[in-house]
Amino acid sequence: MPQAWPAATAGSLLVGLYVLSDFGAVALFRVDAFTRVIYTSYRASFDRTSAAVLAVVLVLLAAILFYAERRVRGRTARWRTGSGSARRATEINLTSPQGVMAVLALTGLAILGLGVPTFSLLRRLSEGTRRPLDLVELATATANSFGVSLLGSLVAVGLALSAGVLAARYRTRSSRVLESVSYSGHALPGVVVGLSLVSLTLVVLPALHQTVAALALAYAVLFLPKSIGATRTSIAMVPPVLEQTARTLGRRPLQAWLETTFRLSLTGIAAGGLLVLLTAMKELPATLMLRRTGLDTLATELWSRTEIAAYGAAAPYALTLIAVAAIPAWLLTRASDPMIRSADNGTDVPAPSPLSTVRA
Amino acid sequence: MTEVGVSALEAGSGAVPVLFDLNLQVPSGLLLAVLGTSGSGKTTLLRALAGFIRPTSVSIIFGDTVVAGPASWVPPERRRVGIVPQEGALFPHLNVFGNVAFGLRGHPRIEERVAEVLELVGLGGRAKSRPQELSGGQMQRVALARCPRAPTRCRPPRRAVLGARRRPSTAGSP
Repeated sequence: MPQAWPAATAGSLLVGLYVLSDFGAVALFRVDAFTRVIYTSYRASFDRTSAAVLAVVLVLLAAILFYAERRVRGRTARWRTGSGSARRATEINLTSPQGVMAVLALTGLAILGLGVPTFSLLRRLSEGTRRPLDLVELATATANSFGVSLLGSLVAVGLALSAGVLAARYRTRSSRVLESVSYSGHALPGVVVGLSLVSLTLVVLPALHQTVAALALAYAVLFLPKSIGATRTSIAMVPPVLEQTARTLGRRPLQAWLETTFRLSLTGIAAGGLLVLLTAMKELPATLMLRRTGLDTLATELWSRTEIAAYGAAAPYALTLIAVAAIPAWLLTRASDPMIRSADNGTDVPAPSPLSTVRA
Repeated sequence: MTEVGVSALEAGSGAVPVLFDLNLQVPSGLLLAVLGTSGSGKTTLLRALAGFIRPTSVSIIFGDTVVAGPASWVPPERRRVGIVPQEGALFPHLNVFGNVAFGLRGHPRIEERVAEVLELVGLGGRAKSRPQELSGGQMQRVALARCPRAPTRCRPPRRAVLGARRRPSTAGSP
């Protein structure tokens, strides 16, 4: 328990951080939480000052939670006991009452998280709507969601690559500061990033205002931490000696890096990009603020239908969103599951023959 | 083979140099073993020779080329120095053939040449094996075969040299 305690605390602080920055749910339930008030005050007037003041307060609150989470989690690391070879955890046979409880608790959680929304959405769908579903509109929204999110994830991967290489290979004070700064996207609510990019584009680059580029940039800022995390761990797992060996075998620095470190961490980097893609498709507040007029994504279509209480009409969009997001999620679990991976590779590998080795 | 000369090598990270005023002359064809306690800089010397680190003050001469000196620097990819790290450091995404062929880009007869060096280190039938399927000793032999200037004509390496790190499961004939 003392081992798990800091992690659990850090986890709940993280939940607090997410709740604080969440927009979609509070907007749906019409709760006057920070994020929603910021958005409505931004929409209500052309004066962005009041929204900006609220946003600053929200960022401060988020920063406190973020800092607390890092502090608590930092202490966890000290309790790790070396990097010795891992022993398999002992399996505990759950006797029947315990077993039933454990299974019930876990399935209950899964049903609550996955089953209830899907079920209620399907029911909404079956009840029919006053407005018939426009398939072209749905397809356009899906394509837009995918396209903009893909762009955002490409930007994020590009940014994460340099930061990830620095963080994994060159642990200096400045590279650590850079890494922490890039993690701030974790703490920043989408509303705040959206608002600040609106102001930034208006003041600095009016040409970018309400363009797909600004939106992609917002996604990149918001979800960079996911991408950097994946990139850093996968690069750190490649021993630097491989790159050096490639150099001795006649490769120039960039070529050696591409053929060893990059090649071997590609799966991890792609997984990071996929994670950004997945999250960006669900993003609402920044999308609402930064999108080009007329550019509708699944999330904004869903939102605009719930705004006018057309819940039945919103259901197909919600279901499509779930379905589209499920594809990268499925790919991610495949990529990260070593069992599946080794099974896939195992087919074309010939069995090693010990006899051929002992001739020398 | 090339004569190797090192004079006044000073290398290491940080303020305190690991190596200080090291002088070395290795005539062509000589086999040199460097002994020392752990942390005394054996690896640092090899890394300096391969060009992985830039010594703070030195001149390293291969034959008649100054590869590291006050005014010259030859990067690792043009030194043609072979390194066999303790763990072999094979490229895990390539099979044995791919590993050996890695340094032979542009070679007119890659297939032939790879088969030749693999036969030489006693791994003739293992070209398609993945590094993960090899024993520690076999990995080192592939690493040796992968080196630039891997010898074409010489006796296979003796067991005493390369077999010592072999796993018990593959050592010894049936």
